Amino acid sequence: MPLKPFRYHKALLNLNIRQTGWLAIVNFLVLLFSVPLQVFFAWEHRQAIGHSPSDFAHYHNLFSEYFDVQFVLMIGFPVLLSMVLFRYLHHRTACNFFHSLPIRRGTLYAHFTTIGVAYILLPLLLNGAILLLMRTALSEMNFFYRYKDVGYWVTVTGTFELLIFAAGVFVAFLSGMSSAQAVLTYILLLFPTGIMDLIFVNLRFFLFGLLPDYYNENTLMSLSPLTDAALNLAYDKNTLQWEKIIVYLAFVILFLSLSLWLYKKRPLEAVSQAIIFRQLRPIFKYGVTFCSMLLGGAYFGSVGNNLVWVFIGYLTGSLIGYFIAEMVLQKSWRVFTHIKGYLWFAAAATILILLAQADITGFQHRVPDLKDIKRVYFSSNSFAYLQKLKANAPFIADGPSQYAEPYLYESKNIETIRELHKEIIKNKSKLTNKDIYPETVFIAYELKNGHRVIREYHLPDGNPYAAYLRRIYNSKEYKESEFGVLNIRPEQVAEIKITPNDSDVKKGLITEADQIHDALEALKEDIMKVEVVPNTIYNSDAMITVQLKTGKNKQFDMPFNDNYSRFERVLQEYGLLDK
Amino acid sequence: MIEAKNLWKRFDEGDVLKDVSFTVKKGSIYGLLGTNGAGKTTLLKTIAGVYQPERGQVTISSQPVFENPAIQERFVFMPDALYFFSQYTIQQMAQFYKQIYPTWSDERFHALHEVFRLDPRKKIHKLSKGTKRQVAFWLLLSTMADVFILDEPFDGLDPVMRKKIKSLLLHDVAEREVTILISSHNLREIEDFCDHIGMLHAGQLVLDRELDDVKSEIHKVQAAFKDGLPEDLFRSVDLLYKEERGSVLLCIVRGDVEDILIEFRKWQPVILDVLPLTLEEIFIYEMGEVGYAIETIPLS
Repeated sequence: MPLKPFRYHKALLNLNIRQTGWLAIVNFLVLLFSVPLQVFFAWEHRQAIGHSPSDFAHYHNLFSEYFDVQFVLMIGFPVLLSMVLFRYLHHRTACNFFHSLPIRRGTLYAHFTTIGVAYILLPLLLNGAILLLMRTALSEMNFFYRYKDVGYWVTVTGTFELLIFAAGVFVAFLSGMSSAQAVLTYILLLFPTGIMDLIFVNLRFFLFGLLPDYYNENTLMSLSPLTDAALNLAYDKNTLQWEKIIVYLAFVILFLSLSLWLYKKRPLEAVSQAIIFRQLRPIFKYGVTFCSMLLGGAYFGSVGNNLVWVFIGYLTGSLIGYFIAEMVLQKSWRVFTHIKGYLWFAAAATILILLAQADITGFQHRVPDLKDIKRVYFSSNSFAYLQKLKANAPFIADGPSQYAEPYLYESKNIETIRELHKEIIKNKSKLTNKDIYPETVFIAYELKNGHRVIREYHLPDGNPYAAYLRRIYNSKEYKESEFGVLNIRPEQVAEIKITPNDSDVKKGLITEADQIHDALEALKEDIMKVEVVPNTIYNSDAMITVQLKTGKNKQFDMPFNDNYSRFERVLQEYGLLDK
Repeated sequence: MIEAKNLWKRFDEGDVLKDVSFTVKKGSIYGLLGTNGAGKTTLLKTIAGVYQPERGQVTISSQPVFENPAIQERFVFMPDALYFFSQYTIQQMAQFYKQIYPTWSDERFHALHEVFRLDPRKKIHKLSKGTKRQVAFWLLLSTMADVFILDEPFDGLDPVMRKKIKSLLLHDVAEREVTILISSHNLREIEDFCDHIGMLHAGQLVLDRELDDVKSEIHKVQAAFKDGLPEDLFRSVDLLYKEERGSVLLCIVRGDVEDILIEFRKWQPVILDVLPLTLEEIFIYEMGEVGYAIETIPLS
């Protein structure tokens, strides 16, 4: 296909500025009020009342100011823009008018798209310039942001907005209705995360030991630009590395080129159809049916705790989805006789479910060989481990490690874990009702080849599992990694605090060096000695806090176990315990 | 000038145009007639380059129309549902047309102000339906284009304005050899206006003739015979329709008028008249031929 150059039409530019120019002004003003003006008034306030550097701890970057407004603008404005600019495709008389003008489709497209890009970028660059000017002109503005923060803010906001705009334009050419365009754009943007999330949540019903959160937390959320922006931008300094920016911009080019290609194929007479291209309608129909089947399964599976409920969820979800899709396509309520397509879908879905259940990859029975394992993370909770895997975890990014890191390297302990794991697999059929069992074990094998094998199980009380758990929890290695206190020396400690749960009882505080020494040694000895019994709620009246000298937050908290007899004696010696 | 060759256009519901071919000569006015839903609007949009036909091609001056601005700027398409930019005044809309159509004439625009007598600073969307139609003609005529494609253009115009606009269009045809393709369901409207007609039925062109030829081919004959109806008469003429009103026979016959009269005279009619046929009657009888007949409506 020879590329004909797009001709510039002053008439189209004038038309656009007159009709849609207000969008650029709105974009400019919202940005102005939510970023430069916000920073300016914060600065002015600080000038009046004085400040210390710690006042600015929450200023990670320019997204930290009014992020909610920025976020709404970032995901809302580009879609609105694509709807307004390409409204003429979805409106029959406008569509006839524009396409009877002596202007090629490609030229129309180039004009409208360029205008859209300009409406996104010009207000943004102008606000960037204002920020640079403020930074230069106002003293002490450096506490709030650096020059390179401005560059980052402009680049990241621009990239996100262009990506969302390009997706909106792409969908505008697939759809014949503006309302369908808006909905489908957001579905498209959320799709990568949403579908993977649904698939993993549903696979859990069939693959014993699968932990959906592992996949969600790690990779899934950054698959969709919407969740990526929502979860990461405000908390983290560098969510968007340049690699990601390049990927996003590549998608911008892809979407915009596909749109032009679609434009040339678009049957204009199909205005007001939800999906313009006949060939795409089955994809839409069965796509919606499939997703809502998974959603139904996820819902019924989470409330019902039983595979029967999961299947009821599949049936309900897929039926609802199928008829909704059919209603959208037929633009009518009377679709309940169109059942033939559903029967085909049901047959295909049954095969798919059987395949999932067949566990072709042997997921459920995989226990890595001892010689392949580098180390194992073993805990009753996956949260800390998953947070650690996220490079920019907002919750532990700047705090100390409050969470223990129970990594086990000794082959004796790893072997115990493997035996427990095999025992669990052997009893799979008894263990699949997850919520009945109180004890959770989370196992993360980290292999020598860099792979991970991640599993989570819910176990009942008592043997045979409790015996394994006791062996693991009471191993020296486990205790040393579980109880961070064991690894610190007395001279690192600033104070040890006893905080009773009952607030009437007075607090104990140890600050003198020799007392700290004695108490810490006693505490360590108690921890090593006292047996950890799995799934026991300790009768604990107080919390022990060991505060270190360095770092504001560097502290260890643990419950005061009644069996910590030596520690208790030491406290009594110093008269700190009024029991 | 305009040539449509074997056009096929398919919508979701099926074929809307089935192998439509016709030619409009330069400087002529081609009237497109058709039953409801016959595909007139689709055909005009396809000719104007809005729709792309599945098969076939539309050319103007032997150049393809679709996606060809060099040709598209030589014609203006006026759709049945008019479109103006919201909030635009007549003046602003004229400015837009001026930037789009290279043949636009400001003198024409100002001269036509005398005819339309509308304030160019008025916002178009506030005008009435008929007045919007006038604005559309004002703009159309000011483009000085070579070809006008008009879909039901006289809808909503009052009779005076209709006459004025027709004479303006005829003036352009006479002076500048403008070619006009016009569709209408109001046959009287274009009877005195077109020199060529095409009839579209169910996506097919069932008639495509000079209006004069059509009129000289079909005749309404009124006759009365002394000895009742001579049945053999109808075997020797191409009868489209007959009706008896008492002893008077009224029939529509196709063929050369002289030949028909000779046939009738053989039976020594008492009365024999050839009456002029209106376009409306031609339409009805032609459509009857293709199975779109007027049924006797059983009303009580």
